[in-house]
Amino acid sequence: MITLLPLFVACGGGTWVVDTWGEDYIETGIPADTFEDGCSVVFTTFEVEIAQADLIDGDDEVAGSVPTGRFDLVEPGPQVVGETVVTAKHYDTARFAIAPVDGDSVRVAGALTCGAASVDFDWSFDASTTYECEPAELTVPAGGEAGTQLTVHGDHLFYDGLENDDAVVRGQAIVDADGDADGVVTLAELQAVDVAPLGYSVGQFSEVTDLGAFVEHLSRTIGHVDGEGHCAVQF
Amino acid sequence: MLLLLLATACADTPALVDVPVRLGGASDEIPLDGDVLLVLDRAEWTLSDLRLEGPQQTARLAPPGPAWWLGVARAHPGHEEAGAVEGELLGTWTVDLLDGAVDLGVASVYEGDLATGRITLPAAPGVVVEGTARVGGTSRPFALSLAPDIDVHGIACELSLSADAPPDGLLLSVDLAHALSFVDWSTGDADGDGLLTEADGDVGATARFGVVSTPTYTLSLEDSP
Repeated sequence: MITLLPLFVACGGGTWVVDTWGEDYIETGIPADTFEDGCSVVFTTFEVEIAQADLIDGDDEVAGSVPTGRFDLVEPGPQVVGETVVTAKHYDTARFAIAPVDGDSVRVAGALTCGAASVDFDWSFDASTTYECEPAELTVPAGGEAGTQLTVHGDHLFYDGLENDDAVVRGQAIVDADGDADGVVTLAELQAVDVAPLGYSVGQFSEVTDLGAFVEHLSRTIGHVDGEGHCAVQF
Repeated sequence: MLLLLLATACADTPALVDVPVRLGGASDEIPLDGDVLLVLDRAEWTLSDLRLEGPQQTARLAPPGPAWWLGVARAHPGHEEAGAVEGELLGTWTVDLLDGAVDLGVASVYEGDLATGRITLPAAPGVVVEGTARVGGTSRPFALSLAPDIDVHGIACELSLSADAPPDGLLLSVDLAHALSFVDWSTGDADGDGLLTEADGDVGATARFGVVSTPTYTLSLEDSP
């Protein structure tokens, strides 16, 4: 294989490189001016289990897969997921899965501050989510390389709507969910909060009735491609 | 040659079907769980721009359909991607659902499969619901004025339209029982004005939650008996 790879590259193959990044929001925090209600958040952990990273050709076949793994996006800078040699040509789809491999699929921990109140959180989610992404321009050149980034948006966890375009980022309801007032908001405490009185909207996801399910659903919308590029979610 | 290409292209274009659209009426008595009966005096809904979408497809698997220029919904943050818009009826209507069904107009829809619909609920004049909630043995007058200001996506509409057998119409229905089921009708009249309104406690938020909830709306075909 080692001897064949250079031959493949020389004969019309190129290298597809995948990285992942949580941007400033995950590395340094989400500032108060991003939150509609003036809250702010700092993450201490934002781990994603990338279980699949495939480049898809025009026949919906996998043109190449890169090795996957678990990444803590609090670490600064884009982190390389892997690379593989594929046929040199234009591609318009990359498929990623964030899914459990040996544990949870997403784990986020940090501190959320709203005014004088601050709570810590450490939430793990075990859903499997596939992101069908559309890189803006991805042409792998013969003998060269092209990259795709699975960009993770940490602010999505705090949206107040599951599908409306004009959802905004809010934190107060999560701070208020600290039922035992111990300064830590658990998923169980979120699940004890009815979502209907919060002014949030669930749209077609009527099975989402509590704040825990709401945040868990949002944890399945964090994937984008190359910054703000679109990914359709397969739940 | 050009004419041949044009003829080929036209032959592949699905036919448009004219589909009359009605908004269904509603009963003025809405029984809810918890021994609650709502007796309505007014259920005024303002909605606009009905769009009908085909089955979800990715651009990679299928080229844009004939209505690709109408746009594809790409919700953020939800990322749920509807199929291409296959038909629409544009306009804004304010209707008291208690007055019975009303004609909204005629939608032009490409024949073929539909999967979902979406409508806009504008902020103004919004939704106004007035009446009396009978909770146990107590009557509690209420008047809710809501400003939804949101698109309702994903309204189930799994239908197939054929130009050879066009339907008599499409019925958009509002399930008032679902829309109003999230309100705690035993909530106190917090401001003491003798009327339960959107300003009392969580009433405004819970009422809006139901009004903008997708299952409140259904789309179904109306065929000749």
